[in-house]
Amino acid sequence: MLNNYFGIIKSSFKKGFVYKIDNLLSIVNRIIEVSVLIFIWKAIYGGTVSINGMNLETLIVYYAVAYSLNHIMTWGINEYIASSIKNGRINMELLYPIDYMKYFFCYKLGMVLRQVMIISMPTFIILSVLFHINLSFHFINILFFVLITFLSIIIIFFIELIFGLMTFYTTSDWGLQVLKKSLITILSGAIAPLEFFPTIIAKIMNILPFTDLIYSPTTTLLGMNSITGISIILIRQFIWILVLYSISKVIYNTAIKNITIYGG
Amino acid sequence: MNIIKVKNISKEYKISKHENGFIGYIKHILNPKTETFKAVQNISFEIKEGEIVGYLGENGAGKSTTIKMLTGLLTPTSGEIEVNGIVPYKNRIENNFQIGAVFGQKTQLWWDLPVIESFKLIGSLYKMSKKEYESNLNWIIEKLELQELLNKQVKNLSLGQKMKCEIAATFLHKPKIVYLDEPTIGLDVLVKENIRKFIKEVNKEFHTTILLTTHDIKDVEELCDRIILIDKGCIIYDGSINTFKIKYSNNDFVTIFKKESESYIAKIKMNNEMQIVEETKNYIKIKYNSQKISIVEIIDLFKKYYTIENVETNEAKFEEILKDIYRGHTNVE
Repeated sequence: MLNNYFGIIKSSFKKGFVYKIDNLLSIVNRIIEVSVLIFIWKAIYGGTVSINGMNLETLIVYYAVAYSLNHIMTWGINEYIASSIKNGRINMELLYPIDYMKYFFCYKLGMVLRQVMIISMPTFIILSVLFHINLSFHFINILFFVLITFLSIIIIFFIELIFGLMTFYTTSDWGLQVLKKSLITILSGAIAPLEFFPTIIAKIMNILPFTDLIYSPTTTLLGMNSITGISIILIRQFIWILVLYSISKVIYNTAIKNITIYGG
Repeated sequence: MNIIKVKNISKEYKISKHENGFIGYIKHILNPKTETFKAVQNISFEIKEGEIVGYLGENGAGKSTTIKMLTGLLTPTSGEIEVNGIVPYKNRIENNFQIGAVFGQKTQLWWDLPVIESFKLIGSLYKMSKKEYESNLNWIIEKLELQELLNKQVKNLSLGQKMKCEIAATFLHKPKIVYLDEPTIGLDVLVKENIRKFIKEVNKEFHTTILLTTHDIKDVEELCDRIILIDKGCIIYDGSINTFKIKYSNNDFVTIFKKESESYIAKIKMNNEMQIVEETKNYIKIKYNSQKISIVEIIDLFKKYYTIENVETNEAKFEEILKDIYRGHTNVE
C-alpha cells in the first residue's frame, strides 16, 4: 500500500551512507563553525551576565542546537532537482508511477533521516561534550521541538522544491543555490538569535517562514517560548505550508507543461 | 488490436533567438524573441499489440519528441494519442504502470547504490507483491546474466553492464509496452546481440509491444517487421522492411560474367535506367533502377554481343537506401 513511498525513503536513506568521508567532514565543519562563534561570543560577553536577555550558557546551547539543525535546513533536494533537470534524469523520474512531488517528498524524508542520524546527532553530542552543555530539557519542550522541526522540514521541502524547479526557467542553478543558502543562514537565526537583530528587522524576520526553520525550534527546546508563543509558531507554520504548497504547485504545473528536456 | 493510436499529432517548441555580441545580448534581455520550431508535424500511426516497430530517422528528425509524447512527458500541441486506452499526457501516472522506457543516454538506476537497490525500489514503486518481485527478478537475472552485477555500485559498472541493468530495470515490472530510445548506443557486438536476443524473447513470450529507435541498422533488421521512417517531423514511410527495400532501392547492381575479353560496350544502346560501373576482362558491373528495368532486359541487351557465363545480382542494402534518403538523393512521396 504505502510500500512505494517507503521504497523511496529507504533508497534515499541508504544513499548517504556511501560517502563516509563526506559525512565526517560535514560534522567537523559544523563543529569548527560553532566553536568559532562561541569563542567570539565568549570574548564579547567578557564579564557581562546577559546581553539582550540571554546569558552566555543559553547562547552556547542555542548555537549547539541551531547548528545541528542547520545542516538539515541548508543541504536539501534543490541541488538534486536542479541536476536532475540539467542532465535529463528528470525524464526517468517522471516515468516512475508516482506523483513527482510525492516522490521528492519521500526523497527528502529519507535524506533528513540520514542527516539526523549521521550528522546532526553526532554533531550535537560532540558539542555537548566539548562545551559541557546541560541536557536537562523539559519533556514537553522536547515534544514541541520535534513537532515544530517536523513542520519546518515540510516548509524547507517546499522552499527547496521551488528553488529546484526554478532551474527550468534559469537553466543554471548555481545562483539559486547560493541565494537559498544565504537566505536561510541569515534569516533563520543560525548566525545569531533574533534578539540580536535590530527590532524592525527582527519583526520582518518573524513574518517570513525562515525563522521557523532554526530559531523557533531551538528556542522552544530551550524553554524560551510560552504556550502562546508556541501556538503562534505552529499557526504561522501551517499558514506558510499552505502558501508554499500553492506556490510550488503552480510552478510545478507550469514547469511540467512547458518542459523542454535538455539533451535529446 | 491496436494498442497505440496516434492521430494527427504535432509538437511545436518555442526557441529563444539570440543575436550575436554584447548588444545582441542586451537586446535579448530587453526584448526576448522566440522562434517556433516544429519538431513533429501532423503524424499518425497505429501499432498492434505484440508488434516490434522500428522508428527511424536522422538525428533531430523528431523521434525522441514522438516517444516523449507517447510516454506522456510532453503534451502534443495538437492531435490525439491513446496508449492501451489511456491518454498518456493526461493520466501520466496511470500510463506509467503499463509502460517501460529506455533512453540510451539517461539512467533510471541510482548511481551511488548497488544495482539490486534500484531493482528493489522499482519493485516497490510498481507495487509488486513480494512473490511477483522475486519471480520477475529471478527471471530477468537469468535472461540477462546479471548475477555478478547485482551487488556492484552502478558507478562501477561498464557501459555494457549498465545498459543490461537498465534494460532489466525497464522490463522488471513486465510492462505491456516498451519504448526503447537507442538502447544499443555505444555497446560492443556481444552485448548488442545479448540485448537483441532478450528483446526478441520477451516479445515472443509476453507479447510485449515494442517501439524502437536506433541508428544501428542491424537492430532494425534483426528485430523489426515493420518500420516507420520520419524525416523533418513527417512520416515518410510506414510498412515492412521488404516493401521498403523494393520500393526505394533504385540502385541495384548486376554483374555479368562474360567469355569475350574485348569490349563492345560502345555498340550497346544504353538508356538512362542503367549505368556501367566497372568493366574488366571478365565481368561488367552495372547499376540499374530495378523499378524501371528488369534484369532480363539488361541481359537481352548484352546477349547480342557477349557470351554470358554467369549473372550475379546484388540487392541494395537497407543501410544504403536509408543513406540515400537521408542525403536527399531519393525522393519519398
